[in-house]
Amino acid sequence: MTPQASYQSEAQPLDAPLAPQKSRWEEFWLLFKRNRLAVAGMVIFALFFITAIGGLLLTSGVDPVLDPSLVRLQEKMQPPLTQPNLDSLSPGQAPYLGTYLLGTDELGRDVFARMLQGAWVSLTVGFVAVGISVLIGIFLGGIAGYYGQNHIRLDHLLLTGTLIGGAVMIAVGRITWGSGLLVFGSAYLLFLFFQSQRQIESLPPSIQIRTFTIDTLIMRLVDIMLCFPTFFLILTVVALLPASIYNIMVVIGLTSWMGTTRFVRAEFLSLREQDFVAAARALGVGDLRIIFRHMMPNAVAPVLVSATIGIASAILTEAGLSFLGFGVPPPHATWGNILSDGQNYIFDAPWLTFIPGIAILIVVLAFNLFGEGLREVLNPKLRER
Amino acid sequence: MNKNILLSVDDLKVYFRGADGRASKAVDGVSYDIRREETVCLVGESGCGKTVSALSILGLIPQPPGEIVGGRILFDGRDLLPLTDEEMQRIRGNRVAMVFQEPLTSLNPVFKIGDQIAESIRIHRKIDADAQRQRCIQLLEDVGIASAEERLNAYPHQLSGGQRQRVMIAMALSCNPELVIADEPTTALDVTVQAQILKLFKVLQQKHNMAVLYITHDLGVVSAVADRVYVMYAGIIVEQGQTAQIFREPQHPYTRGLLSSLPTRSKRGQRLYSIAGSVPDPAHKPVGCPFHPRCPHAVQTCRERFPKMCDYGKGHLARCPVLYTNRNETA
Amino acid sequence: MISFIGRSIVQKTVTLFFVSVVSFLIIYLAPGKPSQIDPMNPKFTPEMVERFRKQFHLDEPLHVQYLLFYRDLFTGRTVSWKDNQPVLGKIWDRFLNSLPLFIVGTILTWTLSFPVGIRSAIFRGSTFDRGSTFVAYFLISIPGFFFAYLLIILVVTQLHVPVIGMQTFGLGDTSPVHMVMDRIWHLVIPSVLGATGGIAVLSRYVRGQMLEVEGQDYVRTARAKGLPSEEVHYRHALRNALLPFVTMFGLILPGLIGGSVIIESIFSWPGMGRMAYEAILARDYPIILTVNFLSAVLVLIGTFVSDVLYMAVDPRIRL
Repeated sequence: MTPQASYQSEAQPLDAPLAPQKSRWEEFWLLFKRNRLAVAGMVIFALFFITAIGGLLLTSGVDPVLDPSLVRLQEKMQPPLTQPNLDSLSPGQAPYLGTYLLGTDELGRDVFARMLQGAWVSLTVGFVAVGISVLIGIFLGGIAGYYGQNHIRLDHLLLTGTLIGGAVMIAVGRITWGSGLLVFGSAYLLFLFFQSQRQIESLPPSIQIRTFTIDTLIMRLVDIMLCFPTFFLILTVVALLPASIYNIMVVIGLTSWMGTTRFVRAEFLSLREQDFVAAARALGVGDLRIIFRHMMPNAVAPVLVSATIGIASAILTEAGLSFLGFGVPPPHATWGNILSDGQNYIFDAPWLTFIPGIAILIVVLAFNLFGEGLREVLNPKLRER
Repeated sequence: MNKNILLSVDDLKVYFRGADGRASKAVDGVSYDIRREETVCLVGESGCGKTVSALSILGLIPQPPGEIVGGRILFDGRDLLPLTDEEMQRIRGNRVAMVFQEPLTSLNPVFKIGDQIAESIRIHRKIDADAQRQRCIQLLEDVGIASAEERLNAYPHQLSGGQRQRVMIAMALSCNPELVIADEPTTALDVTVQAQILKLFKVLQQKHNMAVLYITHDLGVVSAVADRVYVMYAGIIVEQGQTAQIFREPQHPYTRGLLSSLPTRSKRGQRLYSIAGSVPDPAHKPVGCPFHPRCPHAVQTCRERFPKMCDYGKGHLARCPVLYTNRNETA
Repeated sequence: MISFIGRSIVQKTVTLFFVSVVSFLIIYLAPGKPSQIDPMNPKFTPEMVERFRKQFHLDEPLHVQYLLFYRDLFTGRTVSWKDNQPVLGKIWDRFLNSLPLFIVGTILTWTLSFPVGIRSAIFRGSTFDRGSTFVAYFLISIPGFFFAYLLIILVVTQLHVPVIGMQTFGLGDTSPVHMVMDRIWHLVIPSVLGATGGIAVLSRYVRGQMLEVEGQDYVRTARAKGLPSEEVHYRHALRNALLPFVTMFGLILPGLIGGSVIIESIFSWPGMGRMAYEAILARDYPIILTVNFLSAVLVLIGTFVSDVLYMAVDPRIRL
């Protein structure tokens, strides 16, 4: 027997009893399902998802099954479960279900159809906004955490200045100067890209001065963003820009990435110091592979948690904007604008307020409970000892 | 009952409810005695239930998820388990004190050490603030901290690891307890500091006439401090006896394994022995003798029947009937 | 210590500069014109628009406008485009109106969330804990204005107390007691509403902190000393759990300005939030920018105060 083999046989446990191996998923589910509120949240989350997709299918198209924008003035403000007065309606106007399941609004539109359509719009607003903020957060946080200690050299700053200056000049009409600067900047960029480290070191030392670190740059950017009162900023921008559903998504996304950036950075900073990352680096694994294969899977859990809760707060923000008159403009129905339209008739037609209000409450609550449940399972510190 | 026995743990069972609802049997029928002014060591690998059994003496098992399922803990003839919280508070820190493993995290970072030591004196002894202060200085000097009076105003983070553990010991001694439980007090310290702390324990024990329950996984420490030794494996005691008996004539295969995995000078150049496998998950213990999957002497009965304690005389007991019969047959 | 303060001040000044640039750019580069100089508005003749443009320096290049604006701001000469009133004076008046709401709300938040959070942490898993957890999530999840309408309906229909505005109009000559009660009623409902979100979030945070600390070794040490459980919880654990909240004292400050746009709108409360909202509607740039700038100043002062407070309470941090 070779020494190698004898060593291996020695290391083999005889028939040591091992705990039945559970996959990460099973273990996760085992812990998660103990939190009944979180499970309820997840179920509602799933139902909401199905409703939203179903709503999209049923209410869109040229001839939707349920038309959310069909006005029947003769049938306005009917309470839920009213039978339509078929005599006064033309054949195409009759509700598909034979009844106004959730009543009609001040224009006689079917609230049920509007809620279905709104579910999809609200969901999109939430997902897109959070998607934007999570992408920015992961990108900036990842760079700050992984490359943060690198310094920005003076020539980098000059280069940025040249390129921006060139672009501005072209924008204000000084084409010659602007394009000159742009060409020079791009040439220098290409030079930096293709030259070896040694050639770059041969540049005059005065422009190689190290200014500040990438981490400083990104974290100061976060500080700057945190100085703005968020809701006020969103309101200002949404009010100044032309009313559009996309502007709202983008603005909410662009003003809420700071939290994600901060903790992705913190996570990366601590992961960087872990032995498995050091081991990967020692094996010569490339930076990108380390980031995406080794570090990202460890950082993704908290990002998911904050994304879940972020969707909830994006839906609430949209509702708040709607209330102030800057929400998603018609013809899109969202739960926010159904609610804010309905509050004008709160005593005459309370269902117009209560149905969307309670719907938002339940969905946001579900997202929050689900997110907190995830957090509790994923964070070993919060588990019961 | 022997008047000389200070603490007697009798068939203690502590289970923890896991996430899946299964009980994890951390301590599964453990019995041991500690006589007055004696040092007893509880030895075993990490995860074998040493700490849990010690924490249950003071009633410090977090419940839930922990649960003391059965047994008795007789301290000075009185069962501690049925006591109310207030009654336990009069015993904790006063008659039974504890020194923990990590002196850094075991001291409250926002209080001065003088206040932390004085706290237990204030609670258990009716003496005025000035006397408390004098007592604190006395204690710090006893445990070998220089310029004790100034140190009273230090915060834990301003002390070194060894000094912090000395403060923990001073805190434990503050009310002259009859029993001090030391849970791996030197594990987190440098080797040189370890030796100092062990020596300090010896000196203080003689000075204060107290019994010490010393929990450790380090057989070197055991040989240095213990009068008697209990060896634990997977929630049960597998061997017990005088220190000399355990070290010279270990009878349980686990104890033998532990001892032969110690590096000694005579074994230079040889590969160090290690016990194959690892401690079983306390929620999924093997049937029969818990050690059988790792045991080189295991026979069919070991897989079927829970082993009984076998008496080797003079208080030396081991839980391995197989080796016991083998020995008697050859003899 | 001195160097820390110096460094912070420099850093925060730089941050403030960038905030001022960014907010200026956001406002001025956004499409559309201020309503006072909107050529589409038939009320304004081209001559008036021209005069406004001159008066507001809108013909200058952007960087000159920036400098002019902040010069005016620092010398207190900025005026609202809408009514030519000095901006700082307007803000001050509205600020005084918002102040009682803010103070009552803050007191409610801080006095309620701590006992609730601490209690649910100590009795983790109890009925109280589960109940307060659910209520907290409920309050976090309900749209603020929906909740406000529920409360208004309740108060107005059940208690017959008017709550809109700062006081009931036409209460000219009633007894002083009635006057005071009227003011209090008008104050309480919006304050409670403003505080609910804060109470919910803060109590959850307190609970989390407390739970984390309760699991620490030194809490076990305290119990092993024989301390009664109240002393373990309220002395050893709480003292450590409170550390992060000291920093939050500093972060209350920005709440002074941000106010609550929604709540002040619902209750027609003539405060800061409502003024900001009206300014946005009227595209009254000086007010928007000033509010933004002041709020950034408060955030920066708040973080500075937090850092200093943290050093004062945590013996481990010394500079």
